[in-house]
Amino acid sequence: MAVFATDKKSVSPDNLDKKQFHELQQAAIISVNKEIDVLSQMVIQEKNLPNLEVALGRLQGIVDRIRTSGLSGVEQTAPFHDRIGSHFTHVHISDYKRLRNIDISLISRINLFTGINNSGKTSLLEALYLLCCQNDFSGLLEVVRRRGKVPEDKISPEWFFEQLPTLIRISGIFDHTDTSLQIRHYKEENSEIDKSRYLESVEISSDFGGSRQESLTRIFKGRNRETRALGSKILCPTVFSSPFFLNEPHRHTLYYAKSVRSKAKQKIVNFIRRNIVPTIENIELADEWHRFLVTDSICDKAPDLTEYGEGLQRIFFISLLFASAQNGVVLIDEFENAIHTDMIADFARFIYDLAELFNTQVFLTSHSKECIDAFVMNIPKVTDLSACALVEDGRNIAVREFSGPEFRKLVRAGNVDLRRAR
Amino acid sequence: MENIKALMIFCEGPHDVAFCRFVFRRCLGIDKVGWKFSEYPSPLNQLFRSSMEKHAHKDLSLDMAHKFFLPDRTLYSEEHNYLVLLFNAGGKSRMDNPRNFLSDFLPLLEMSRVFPGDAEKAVSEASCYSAIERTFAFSRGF
Repeated sequence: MAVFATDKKSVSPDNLDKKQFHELQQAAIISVNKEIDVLSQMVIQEKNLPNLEVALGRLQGIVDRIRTSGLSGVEQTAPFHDRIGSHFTHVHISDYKRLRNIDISLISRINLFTGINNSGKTSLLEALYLLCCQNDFSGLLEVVRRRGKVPEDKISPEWFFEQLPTLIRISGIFDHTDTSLQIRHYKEENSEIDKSRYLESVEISSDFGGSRQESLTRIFKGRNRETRALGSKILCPTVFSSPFFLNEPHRHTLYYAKSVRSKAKQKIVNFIRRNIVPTIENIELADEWHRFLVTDSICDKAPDLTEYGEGLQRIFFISLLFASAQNGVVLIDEFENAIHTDMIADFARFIYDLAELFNTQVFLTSHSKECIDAFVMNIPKVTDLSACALVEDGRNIAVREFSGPEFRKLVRAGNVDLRRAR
Repeated sequence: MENIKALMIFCEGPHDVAFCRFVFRRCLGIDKVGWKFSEYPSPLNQLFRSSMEKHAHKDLSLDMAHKFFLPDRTLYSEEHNYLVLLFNAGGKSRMDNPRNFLSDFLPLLEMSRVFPGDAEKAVSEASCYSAIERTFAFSRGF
């Protein structure tokens, strides 16, 4: 595997002309594949396993770096407009799980949602994510897989359809433009389909200011799905964070790369140094292991980020999201999870600064009064905040919406608890 | 949730409060109650507790009575669900006390049913009267 030992500097485009660079790259890829073919024929000795794992990690790092440059994967889908005048100003959820005819009209830059368990907070974030993804089937897959805490490659098609509501209808106003989404799944009566493995089809129809997009995805058992679509444009870059998905190294690699490029990473490290661990000097991604290593002035060797507390890790990973959602939307489920109460006020302020820096709209859910109040009392421009409680109204879910100034006044006057709204 | 009609009277000093209490008891049969904060209807339960906490948090060692504004007397008619709160503003020069109280109370009143806390009753109508040279009088209902 000589290619792994190649000095990066000697093969950079600066040192070679374009043709030479292209040829060298092709040769290296052919060489890697040949060596893998050779290795696959052998019985590998156990002592060589660590070296193989290092090689695997480095290759994965290369693949992930390519993905961040927009060549494949989820980053491939482009938004309708690179620049936007405003984000969501209205959302209407006609049908999505327990949420029926829900209108959210007080929407700002930072939007807090709370409610009792099973009141639909995560569903609301999912609905927003789906609307942002428009007719992109991978958005729907992501929502189902995230809810089920299932890796993408482990998702069972039958289970996928069990989780999928019969009908999803969501609409809203984004960037002063009407948008809507409808998703349904059904069995097609088409004689051209291989019925022996066919399960069902998912039809997604979306509209953004008259730009209608449709996609039809046929799902088979034991066979790759087939998606037919003339095109797929999303409303905006959208990132969804949930505390139960901390260990998604391939995603963190993408977010990290964008944070480095936008120079946000240093701001994040500075925040962590100033507020949590004063001895932390840097946090860097180690391609070889797909892990983050911390330069800490009190440690001889750079420790893995996982050696630090869950709260520090969560703060780091949430902060990394913003650079990937420039002019877009960040959705954060259970924001306060693992973060100490005393830290939330400073972190709320930092989230606001990042949202401003990247022109990002934030929707977050919380179960904590301290967290809600931290945003309400610490955001410098309270008009950039909205607060909303999802409440049980008979068998339905209703919303109680408040503008930032209105809710701040209620907290100051009566220390009201948004979680206990009726 | 049970509806309560509240009347708030802002008096200049303790003698006015005593006189009002006498009139309500003798003429209308509405007598004093010694409720804890949690026994008040929404939003007064939260308003009083919050006012107490805010000021206690600032300073406990100084004369608390002049630092925050709570009713001197609470009168209640269970038969009619009437609640009368008698406030002692602390003199003509301290009109900021009732003003600040009302600026907190009125937005909370609008949300008395959305944020009842532990209360089983909520103020549905509130009338305010200032006995200090009749500076204001108004009613709000929700």
